[in-house]
Amino acid sequence: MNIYKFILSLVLLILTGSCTDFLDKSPDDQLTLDMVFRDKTRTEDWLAGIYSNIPDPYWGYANSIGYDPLSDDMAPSTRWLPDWGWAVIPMQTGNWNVATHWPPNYWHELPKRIRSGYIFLANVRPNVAQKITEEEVDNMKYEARFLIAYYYWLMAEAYGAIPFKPGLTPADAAGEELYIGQTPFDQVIDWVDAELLELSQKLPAHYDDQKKYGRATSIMCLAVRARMLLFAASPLVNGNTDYDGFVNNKGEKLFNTAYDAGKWVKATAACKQLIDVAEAAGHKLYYEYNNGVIDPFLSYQNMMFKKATDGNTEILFARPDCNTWEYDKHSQPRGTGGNGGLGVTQSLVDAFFMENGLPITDPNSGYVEKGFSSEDEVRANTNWNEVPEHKDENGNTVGRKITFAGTYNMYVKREPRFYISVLYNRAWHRRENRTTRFLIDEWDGGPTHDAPQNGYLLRKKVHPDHDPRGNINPYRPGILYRMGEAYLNYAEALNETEPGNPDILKYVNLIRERAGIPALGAGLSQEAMREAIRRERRVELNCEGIRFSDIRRWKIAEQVLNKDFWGMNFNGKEISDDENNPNAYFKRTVYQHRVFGKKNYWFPVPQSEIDKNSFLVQNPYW
Amino acid sequence: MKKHQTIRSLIVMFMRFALLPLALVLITSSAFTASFARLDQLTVLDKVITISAEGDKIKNILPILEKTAKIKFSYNPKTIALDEKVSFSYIDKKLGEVLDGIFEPLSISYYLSGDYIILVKRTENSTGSLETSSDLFEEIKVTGTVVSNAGAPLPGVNVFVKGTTIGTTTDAEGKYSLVASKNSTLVFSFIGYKTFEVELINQTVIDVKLEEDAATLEEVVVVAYGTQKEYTVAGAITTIAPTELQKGTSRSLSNNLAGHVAGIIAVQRSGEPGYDKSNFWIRGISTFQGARDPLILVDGVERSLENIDPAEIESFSVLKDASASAVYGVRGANGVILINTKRGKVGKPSISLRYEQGFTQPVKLPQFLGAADYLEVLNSISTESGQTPIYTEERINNTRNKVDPDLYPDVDWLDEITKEQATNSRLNLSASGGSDFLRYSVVASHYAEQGIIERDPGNSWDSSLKLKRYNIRSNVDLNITPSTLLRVNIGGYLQEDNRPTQSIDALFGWAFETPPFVHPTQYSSGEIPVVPERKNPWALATQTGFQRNSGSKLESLFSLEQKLDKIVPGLTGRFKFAFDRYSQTGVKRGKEPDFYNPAVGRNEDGTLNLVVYKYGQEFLGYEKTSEWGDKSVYVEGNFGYSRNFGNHYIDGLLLYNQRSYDNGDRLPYRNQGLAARVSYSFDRRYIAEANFGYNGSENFAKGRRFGFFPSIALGWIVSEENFMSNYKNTFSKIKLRGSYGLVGNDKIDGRRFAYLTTIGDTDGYRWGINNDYHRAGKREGDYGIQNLTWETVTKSNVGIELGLWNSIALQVDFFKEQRKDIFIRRETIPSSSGFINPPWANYGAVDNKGVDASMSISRQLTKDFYISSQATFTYAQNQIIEQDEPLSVIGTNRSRTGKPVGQIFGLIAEGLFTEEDFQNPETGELVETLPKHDLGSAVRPGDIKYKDVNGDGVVNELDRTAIGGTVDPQIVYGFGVNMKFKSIDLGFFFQGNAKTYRTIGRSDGVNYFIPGSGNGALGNIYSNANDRWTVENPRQDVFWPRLSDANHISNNSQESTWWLKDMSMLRMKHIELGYSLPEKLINRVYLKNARIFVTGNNLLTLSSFKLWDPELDTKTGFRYPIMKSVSIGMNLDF
Repeated sequence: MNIYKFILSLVLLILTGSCTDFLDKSPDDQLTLDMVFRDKTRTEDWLAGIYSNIPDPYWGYANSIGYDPLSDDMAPSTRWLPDWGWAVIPMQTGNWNVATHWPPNYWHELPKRIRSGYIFLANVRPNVAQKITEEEVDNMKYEARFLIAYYYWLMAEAYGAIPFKPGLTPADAAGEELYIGQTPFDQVIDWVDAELLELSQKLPAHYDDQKKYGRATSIMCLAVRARMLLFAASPLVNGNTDYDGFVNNKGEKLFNTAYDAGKWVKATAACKQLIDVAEAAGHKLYYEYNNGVIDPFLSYQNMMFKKATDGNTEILFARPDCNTWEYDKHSQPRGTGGNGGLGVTQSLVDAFFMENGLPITDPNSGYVEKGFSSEDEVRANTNWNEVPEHKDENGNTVGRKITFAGTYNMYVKREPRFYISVLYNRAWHRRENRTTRFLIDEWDGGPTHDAPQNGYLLRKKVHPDHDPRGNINPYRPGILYRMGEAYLNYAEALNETEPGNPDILKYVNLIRERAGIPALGAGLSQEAMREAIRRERRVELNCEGIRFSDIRRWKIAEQVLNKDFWGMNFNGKEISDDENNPNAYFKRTVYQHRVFGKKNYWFPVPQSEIDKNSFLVQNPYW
Repeated sequence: MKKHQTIRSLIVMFMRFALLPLALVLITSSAFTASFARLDQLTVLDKVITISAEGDKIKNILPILEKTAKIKFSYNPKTIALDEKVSFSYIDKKLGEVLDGIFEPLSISYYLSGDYIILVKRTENSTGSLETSSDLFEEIKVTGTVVSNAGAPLPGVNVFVKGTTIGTTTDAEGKYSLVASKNSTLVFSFIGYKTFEVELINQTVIDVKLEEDAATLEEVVVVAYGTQKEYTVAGAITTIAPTELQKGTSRSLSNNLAGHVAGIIAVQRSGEPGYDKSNFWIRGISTFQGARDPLILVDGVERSLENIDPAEIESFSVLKDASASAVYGVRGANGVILINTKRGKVGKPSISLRYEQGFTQPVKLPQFLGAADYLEVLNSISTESGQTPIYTEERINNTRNKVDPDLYPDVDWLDEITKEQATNSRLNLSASGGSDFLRYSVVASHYAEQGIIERDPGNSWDSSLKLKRYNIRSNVDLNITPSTLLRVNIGGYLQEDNRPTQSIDALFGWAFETPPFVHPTQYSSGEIPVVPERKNPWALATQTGFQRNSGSKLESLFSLEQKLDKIVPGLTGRFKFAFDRYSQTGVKRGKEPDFYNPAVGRNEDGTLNLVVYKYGQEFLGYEKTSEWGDKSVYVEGNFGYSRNFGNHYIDGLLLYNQRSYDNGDRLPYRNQGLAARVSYSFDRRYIAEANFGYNGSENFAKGRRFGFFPSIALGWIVSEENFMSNYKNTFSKIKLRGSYGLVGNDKIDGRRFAYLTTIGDTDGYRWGINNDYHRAGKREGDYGIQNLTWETVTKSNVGIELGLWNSIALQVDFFKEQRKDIFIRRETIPSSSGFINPPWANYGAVDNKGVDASMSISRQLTKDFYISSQATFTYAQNQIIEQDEPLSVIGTNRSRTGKPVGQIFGLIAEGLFTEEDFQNPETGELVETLPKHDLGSAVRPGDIKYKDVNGDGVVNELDRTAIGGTVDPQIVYGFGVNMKFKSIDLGFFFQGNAKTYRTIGRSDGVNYFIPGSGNGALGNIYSNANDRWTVENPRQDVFWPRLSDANHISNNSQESTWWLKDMSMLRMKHIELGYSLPEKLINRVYLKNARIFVTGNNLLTLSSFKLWDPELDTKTGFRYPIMKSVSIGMNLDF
């Protein structure tokens, strides 16, 4: 019986395990750390991974990080829900506790980038075959160190005192290496300061290779350092007695509670150093001219849109790739294909100067709030093509119609930066060839959530050629640090260390000149100058993610943010400013009550981290 | 037929032990007996044959004779000596002469009975021939028929004269005949039946009805890698009759498990065609990480359960404890389901056809307010918070009066995207039959189902939701030699569906999301409106093209089974090879219509004032959506041993197997293992069984790949003890059993080759002045940890099986499972360490315990009335013992350790705030005795008041604690009754679950559940909106608290006991009324059986939760609903 034997032997064969190596399989082609650093592309991939947490000043500051809505600049539609990524909207109204999820979650994410940076430092090496030279390796190491320092600062800026342990923790580290408490704020600042200063002497100011645009430079180091030291010298962390008694697990004070004037000196020097190095490298404010005269509209607008190779000398630190699509789309009126709900606050509208450079609160400013203009407002010194041309009787173009007859007086005769930053009801919309229609049940208006909740849409950094219907979104780099800010930083610091120093006026007035408003005169007191600089800063740097840190470090956030927020009447159905008419659109109306308490100066330490690590202490007042 | 086959093989086994060589001849010689027509006595003996022998043994001659003369011999091998050698030569002689010549010298007389020639040892005074023997005073010829209780003829029954060795067996029609002395007693014995004795007293015709003996019925049970005699099983195994699985018209087999199978917790979470399968777990959930699904083996090969048609199934067993599943070792932790497909039986071709046509409707869809009422609710919210109403009376009235539906729409989106009803149908055709050397079973099925998603008949293309499935299975058994069995199974299915391009669940979600007043489905002028970034559910369902998908599977199996009695009696060797192949393809033909912003009024000429929002396209795009397949190859070899030694019975198994599964991942998934079983029973009273699995997976480091999983089980059949013999009529069966053992689970989620360190992908970055130098982003991945391994479960089980009064069967099992080494990421590594991914570890532990029970009663009450009833009950409760929760959390209200897997957490609501709770109701300042409510919105009277669980004076997210229980039920039960009166039958089955909860409302992406909280931009309002707290009517016993807009809702929308709902339910899953056509009528058309029936599924659902079907997996009611159906059908057997 052949089959008999056949089966018997078959079964025996299998039972005796003819396939002993059946399971001896493992993916031997798997990428290892060693392979990464033997390969140029993978090495750069690793470096890119470290870079990737550089904030996105567009959708990042507006939405996920949310520094702009968290300040008093930006007003996303209150009807947008946290579920749509608007986690910061509840935070605006104080719905914020130790378990609230803040989307960028710096506490959790940045230490990973920092660790990645240290692994890079430990492993990167020259590769002759792939033309990675010794110098290039050194430069990449400096870049990684810059990012490590920068990320420590981003954490400190958000949380104050942080767990701080530079270096590479081994994967099998013991408990005491993993579970560490917070290091006092100033110690972290000092370390970052020293590191950035050292790196600024090693990294180049520019890369000749245009493909390296966006890689760390000496100027980036100094820019970050200048703003950081300005922060560290400011009232929030320089002699803030509110933080008396808040100590870490070792009993050290989280924040120094004794004022130290030396910090301002340090900040002043750092700001000056940045200006000197940057100017030496060719940086200055960006200007566009109209018949040889500065065109303030185009200068201020295009400073945000032009690339360095197109003459934009102002950019000091840019993130090349940003989510400008969502930013633009959410700011475009819904009747033009946008989402039409990302606006600015009334307090920002009120902050812009008049055309004459005076704040609206100044009796001489000529500001009239109520009523509607009776004629078109033409400005000759601009070629800003977002508004129609004005032709004289001969048919020659003479400037532009900035506002039309019938515009609410609040928006008439304001400074150029106002029109570049704010889209108000009945403003001209060039792409759609019509004025905006924000009344309820109009094309761009309510009652939907995709409508300007407080009567304004954002215009700053929104590209005028963005066309959601046609999928057009022109490229622009995301600017994190620019020369205009460096000037204002220096002016502010200098006013604290050497009030009256002429440089203060010089730099503030450089900004005002570019903005198309008259220069400030001399003779202001230190106090008045401080106020003027803060005002200028507010306007010049609006919606650039800076304001939130400013009002925190100045310790004025409780006054600025803890109150009703106003706008135009969302439910308005008529072009009317009648205070007694419920259907009037143009009347100041509360749209949101913002809440900001003492605790909100810092983000809370996530409760889940305190649960895990008993050496951590919660931030003050949380 | 099944019983027939079983009994037949048992007889064969018995004879083999008695006189093996002869038996072999007999088996061979008895081929085709069943198919022969009865021959006339004379014709047979007159048949002319030619045969010769030269010193051949009689036993070798008989088969030749049988073949040549087409007759069959019957004799008692104990009395007829067949080893004698004879020589003869007959040419063209009559059979009678030949037989005389052969048997006369051997003192054997013969006579003819039916198809048989019966050989009898001649006594002293009997003569050799038939004629003379009948003349003898002492002996008479007795004939008769043996039937079962139910009246079916019993073939193979032993009939013998008491005290002698004279005997015979019944033929295929239950008939027998033998010669016996006049006053003797005949004994009828048959395995599985009570032995019956009758005195002759001159009777020549004795018809006998044998009564089934439940206690000794040698049922076999499908167990791991084979079958075992039922009584020898000491593990916890549940079986379900395949007919039970045929009830219900759903596509998925798994939808018939809940309540039918003790030990299975099952819930159906959606009714969407193609995605309506149930989630089910054997004895509940016992891990919080990794796979929880049982191992499912079809014909011994790991396969899916869902796409088998119930008509293909012959047996369905659930292996619940360690003893039953330890041989599966590392794959057995979640229990095992064994399904065997139908095999052919010896007999004439049997063909049956079953057809069902059903009409389906949703069990329940949520109900909403119309647009006018909706706007009034929004206005009342504005008014109540001190703002002016947003919507004018005029608008509300115009909406209510349907003045201009383009401008004042009132749309029930759910209604717009769904049809009233749909259909399904099922056709099964099966044929089986065969002979001793070839048996076949062929099953073909067709299932078709329409969904309730609406289509636009104006489109030339069809986007409607429909699904078709074809199943074919052919199983062939071939005896290539008397001891060699070859089996070939080929099965497969093709499933096709057609559907809209959008996900069905998303469509339902959008129908809930889109308010009724924002815009119509389509303007009367044809434009399709949409709110920017929002959805027009109707347009997405009907205007965006369609997609079609198909998947097909081929399942094959080749097995050889060789009896090795020649080497070791009782030994069998088996070899099995199987390969499966699945592939699927999908095509999407999508488009987008032009979308317009909702009209803002009418122009002067009466046209709508519209602006375009997005340009679409006219034509259908083309996109391949999936092109995917997998394959698996399985090889198994084993030795089985099964033998009786007197009172001792031993059954053993030693097995090797390996499997490779390749789904396109980097490497195929591989398993390899050895398994063994030894089972011993003594005197049918004491049972002991030991099992082990030794197997491994390629997923772990070398040296850690293999694990050993032993188990033992003991059983005691008390009812077989002598001292119980007096109570046999009461306790027909008492069996006690217990088991203990270890099983494993290598399906650890999330990480393959955990011993290797990986490089992970992360966000990349772009450099370059033109943003054009992109690098993809890399960083550390997971740390390789050498000693990672599978999770293990220690399972213990004690059970009792009771048979009472021969009509009640009760089985109860208590179990405990302790799972440890659950593969998890360490949870306690602080973020500040910078580790990208916390390292994996075998760290978690979960305990699971419970009970499952089943009972069945059957009674023939009168001749015409039969009733039976079944019930099952399953309860499983688990508890997380360890999941690396931070020490500072363990023991607090937030701790999940010590709670069941999936425990619901939330705040504890203590009613609604009243005016008295406030110092200042306007600012939301509470009286000092109450904790501050810090949940994001200032509270007002009518808002939910919560308990400050952690006592810190503030109510916030840290006060969340365990509330209610788990979403998945801890109790599942079912009960049903079947009745048959004459030709009418009626059956119904109820299934229920309990200890199942859900917090409705807030969930991912849905924060507009509470009426008005979507600010009128999002969300529909449930029709019970008036059951709410208002200033005028500040009731506490309302469904909804104070309503408010999105910015003030976060206090009330918290997950809390306010929204915690008990989702227990009891459902009439099935009711069926059937009528079998009278035999007279159907016999004329060659039908054996014809039955028509009408069935209803899910016709009645009882639950305290009313908004939607409580079984659906949703917190808002938005899922494709479970369907109820009414079907008519028929069953024809040829």
